[in-house]
Amino acid sequence: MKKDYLKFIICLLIIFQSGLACGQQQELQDERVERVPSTIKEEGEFELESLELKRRPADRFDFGDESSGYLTIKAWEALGKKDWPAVLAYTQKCIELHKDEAKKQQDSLSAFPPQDKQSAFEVLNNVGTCYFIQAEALMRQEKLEDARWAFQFIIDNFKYAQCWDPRGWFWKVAEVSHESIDKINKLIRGEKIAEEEVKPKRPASKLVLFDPGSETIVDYAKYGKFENVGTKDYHYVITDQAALARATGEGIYPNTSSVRKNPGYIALKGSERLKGEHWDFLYTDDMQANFYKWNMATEPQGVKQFYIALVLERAGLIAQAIKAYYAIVVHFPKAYGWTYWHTPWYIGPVAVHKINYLTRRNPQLGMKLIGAKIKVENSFDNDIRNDIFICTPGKLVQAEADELIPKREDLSKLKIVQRIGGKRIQLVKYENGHWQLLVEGKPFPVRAVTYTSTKVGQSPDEGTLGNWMKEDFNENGKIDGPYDAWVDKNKNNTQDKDEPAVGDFQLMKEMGINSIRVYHHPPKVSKKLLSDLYKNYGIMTIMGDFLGAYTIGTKKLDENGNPISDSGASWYDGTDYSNPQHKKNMLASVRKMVNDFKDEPWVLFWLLGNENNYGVANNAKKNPRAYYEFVNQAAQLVHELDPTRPVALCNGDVLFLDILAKACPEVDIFGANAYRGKEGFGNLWGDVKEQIQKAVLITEYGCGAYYEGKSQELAEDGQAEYHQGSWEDIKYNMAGYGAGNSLGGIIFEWLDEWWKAYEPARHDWKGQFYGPFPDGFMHEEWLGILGQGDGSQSPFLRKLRKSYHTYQKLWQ
Amino acid sequence: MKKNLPYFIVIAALIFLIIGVLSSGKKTPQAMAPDEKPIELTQVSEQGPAIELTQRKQEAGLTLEQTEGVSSVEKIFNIFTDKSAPDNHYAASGWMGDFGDININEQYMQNPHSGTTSIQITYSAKETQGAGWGGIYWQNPPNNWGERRGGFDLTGYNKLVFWARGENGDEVVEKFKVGGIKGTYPDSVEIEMGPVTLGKEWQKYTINLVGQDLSYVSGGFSWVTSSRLNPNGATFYFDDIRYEYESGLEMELTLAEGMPFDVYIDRTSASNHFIASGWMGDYGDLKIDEGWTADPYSGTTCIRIVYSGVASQGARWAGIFWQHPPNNWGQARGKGYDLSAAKKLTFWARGEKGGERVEEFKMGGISGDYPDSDVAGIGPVALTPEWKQYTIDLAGKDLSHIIGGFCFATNVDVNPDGAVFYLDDIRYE
Repeated sequence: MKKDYLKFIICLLIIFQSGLACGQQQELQDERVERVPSTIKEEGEFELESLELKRRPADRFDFGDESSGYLTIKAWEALGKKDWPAVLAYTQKCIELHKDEAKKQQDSLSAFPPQDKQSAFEVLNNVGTCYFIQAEALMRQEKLEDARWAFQFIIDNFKYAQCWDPRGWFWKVAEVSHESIDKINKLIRGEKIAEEEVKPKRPASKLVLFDPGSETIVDYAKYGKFENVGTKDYHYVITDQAALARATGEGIYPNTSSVRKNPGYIALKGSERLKGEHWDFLYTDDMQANFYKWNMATEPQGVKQFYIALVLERAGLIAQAIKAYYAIVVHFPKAYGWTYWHTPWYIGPVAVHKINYLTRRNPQLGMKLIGAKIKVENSFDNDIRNDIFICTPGKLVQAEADELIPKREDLSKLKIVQRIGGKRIQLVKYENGHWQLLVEGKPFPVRAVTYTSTKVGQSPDEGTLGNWMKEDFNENGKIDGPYDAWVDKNKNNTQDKDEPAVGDFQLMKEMGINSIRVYHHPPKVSKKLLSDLYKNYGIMTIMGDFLGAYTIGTKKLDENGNPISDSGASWYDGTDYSNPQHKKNMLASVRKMVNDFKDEPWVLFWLLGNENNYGVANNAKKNPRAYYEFVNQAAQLVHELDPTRPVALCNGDVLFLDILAKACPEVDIFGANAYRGKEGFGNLWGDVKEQIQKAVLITEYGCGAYYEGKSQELAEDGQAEYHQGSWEDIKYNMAGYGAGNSLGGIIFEWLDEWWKAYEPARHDWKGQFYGPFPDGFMHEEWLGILGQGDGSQSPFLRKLRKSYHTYQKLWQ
Repeated sequence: MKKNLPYFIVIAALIFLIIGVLSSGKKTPQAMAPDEKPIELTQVSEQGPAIELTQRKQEAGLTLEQTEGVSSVEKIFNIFTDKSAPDNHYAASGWMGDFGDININEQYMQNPHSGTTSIQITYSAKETQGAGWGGIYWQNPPNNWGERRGGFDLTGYNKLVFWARGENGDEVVEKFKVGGIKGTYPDSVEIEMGPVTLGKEWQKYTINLVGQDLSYVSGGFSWVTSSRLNPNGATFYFDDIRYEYESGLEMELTLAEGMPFDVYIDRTSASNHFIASGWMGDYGDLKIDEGWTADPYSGTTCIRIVYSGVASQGARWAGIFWQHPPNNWGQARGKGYDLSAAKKLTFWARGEKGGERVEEFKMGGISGDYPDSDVAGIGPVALTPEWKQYTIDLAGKDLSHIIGGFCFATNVDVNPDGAVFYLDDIRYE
């Protein structure tokens, strides 16, 4: 009898949650959806043993302004705490209030809306997410049948709902629901949920060119005229297209014919291997199909040429790839594409840097690009209409191997013309405009890492993130990550006798790291720990304040009635940089940071913000001028409180660099989180030099050690290659080299964090957004240069990836 | 508008020339005039009682024959010979599009090609049903759109022939078709030809069916035309529509087209060879008027494109391919043109205000099983408010098979408030 009663309640709950009647026809749904909640309300309280659901009086819940955004955030938090009554209360409130609007929005769509229109579908996204949270709650309670049914409801009814991830991307709720259903089906069948199999999307094939062209370095002057070089009116006019096509060969503009005569293509034409979108071929190993698909793709010519070049590069046909990249510089220097965030991607400058990278890394080719420069004026906003391209195509020439390595200028012969900071930590500018950071009079190239040792299963989204500076899960009196971490040499996920605790601090020291990045907001920073890091391991700390980003901090008030370290804004309202109270709160937070830590010898310099200009939970993107003026105000305050150290800003790449240049004279170091690919950072150094003449620090860069369809070993190769290329670019723009404004970089990050994509206890492999990574996607949970194995020994186990050893060599 | 000499005049002249040559006893292929299409002089049969010498001229895939001597035809399967003829096998029952615009008289007595009657079609172009086009299928059984069995097995026949003429001699039929009925019992074949400008006198047309699967054909014959091609309507006649088997008939090869070769000259120009059917990206953002009369570059009309830039389908870009045949994304076998003689593609364009940006103008590049043989383009182009000619260099390109004759693409990022622009005189030279 009790069992039947429970079944009935489960059914009610599902109806309540999903709006569908168990096993009933569609026409019954609405009636039941409307009726069931009121039934529950009449009861006041209901109990569901297996789900441990207990309804609490409504006044025990904080519904805030009852907006769908607020309720969804609260629901996530409740899910993390496994507070099932709260999950039910917040999700159901959201669904009750906003379901109709969500349905309207869903019905208005025939495809996923573009990113810049997502705000118009916020209610759909939040209601869809609330249903998802309910389904997730059921799954976590191992109510598999019900969870499966609830996930299916989302797929059937809210398939265009997307969930905004605070790290900056959307994920598709229905897509993840599908994955959950697959997983549930396996569990129901009693199958083990194994790690994803490494399966290539397409079988590998070797690309053999039918017509490589008659010239390795094409003499463009023979086939056309370079007009208005070095101006915005640059143009290469082809005078003999047929001859140029013969010289360039297959796949390189203007040769569009040879590939169609390639016997390989003729054999594959119409076959299954060429079925599908060209984008889906891009990072596969079927090089033949990839090359043919991209040659046939109907993309703008510059975009198409870039990806043909990339295919050639991936296929190991480097000389032809260089030729293809150079064809962009000659013919399409003004080409553009768009990043995942719909910021412009300037293909011409990227092609120049690709060529520089490839010629440097392949000295056997004996070629280099000289004199090429594509400058994009007005490029620091999202409007490509105002862009002006100043193009100098330069020339590909033959070169000896020793000409390919950048030469360093002797700094000792140069005068220092500017000094920022105190005697101990000083930022100096040489007469040639180059910048260098000195600590105790010695050059200090910033070899930093973002450090945290998050235990698998914890997640800030669910309010379960602990404080790594204090956690001592093995209760041995030592902080876990810093001192108890051990290297799983044989990768068996067990601590063997020859795998003693060594600690991250020691591992960092052995790698060559000299600083870490930390923000002072709660959880509380341990001075003792960071002091030990400095004294015993020689590693300093870059101390930061988020400056209202993500509204991170605490609402707890200090003795003056101000939030301890926060803008005071709620997540869904976001920090407003023109709001006097928010600004006052943030300045108080900055003041607290400096006062708390300025006397600590281990603080290297101060860092403000974390890519706030992307506008996540703040209005910096909408009102950049207000934001950067406030940054300047904050930097000025830091200088007043601590004139002994420089102040850095952490920007999202170079977006709004022109505004920043005018608004932020008090900022000493321009920091940028930049993920531009294995070749490094392209025009970033030159852009900053031209706009603000300040020192530059790459405040985040990195690449996941995951490569879809490839083994872990190959994935680590890809990650290591990315880091090596990035660091070489950082190095070759330090004082004495190149732009001379690079101070160093902060690797993102030390250790994989498993909460970033989806399930905190699972090492999700799925890419979050597309970008210039080995398999074309960012894998946020794999960014660590150290891994956590299968997660069972977290937070202690460390797997040293190849990039760790790469840095050891680079930093020797 | 700089109109070409209509093809039928060229054809007639060539036929006259050939007949003259033949009558003088010479049987060698004729040399081409520089700007004219090649002529195929074919000895059709070596087995018949007499030699049939046929001069063939391809017009949009349809063969117009001028026959001399006795046919070598060995088998005949009639669709229509005379009203009430006992061996008519299909009925003119499948009315399509603006059916209110169509009248048919199947026992028209005046001037039949043979026998006592021919079929008279009157197409008013009033767009009664708002479709802008109309046509008729000859079906078996009548009104069968594939839901019933009843197709004939025509295996063993290798061409469809019919005779046609226009009332005035300038009527344009957009396409003729064999098969193509879908449904539960679909036809085994679908092949179409056109557009065709009819002459005033009876002319024989042939659709080559060599290599086609004719095992099940319920749509024996159809024609379609449009108000775009016949703005004032059209009256035309058919007679002696039948399937035949001709021994020795070979699969048709595409012949290189002569230059210039028009994509678009004027709305009603029969020399337009491609149709603006390939809408891409945010197709909901686009409107096209191919008969815009205000300030064309030449002639009476130009093309007006209105791009709203609202990203209706979420793609953020949009474009149109001018295709042959319409909607051919590379799936149509044996279609398209051989434009090997072309050295460049030129067109005229202007923006409503100036500054409208078109990211790419191009030709070719459609993939699929029967793709374009090459691609070439220019862009981005910022349009001026005055007409300006643009040229796409085709030197060194393989133009042997072109199905996407012209294309433009633009996007919302460069035209956030949309764009209005005009095109005219798109032509291969």
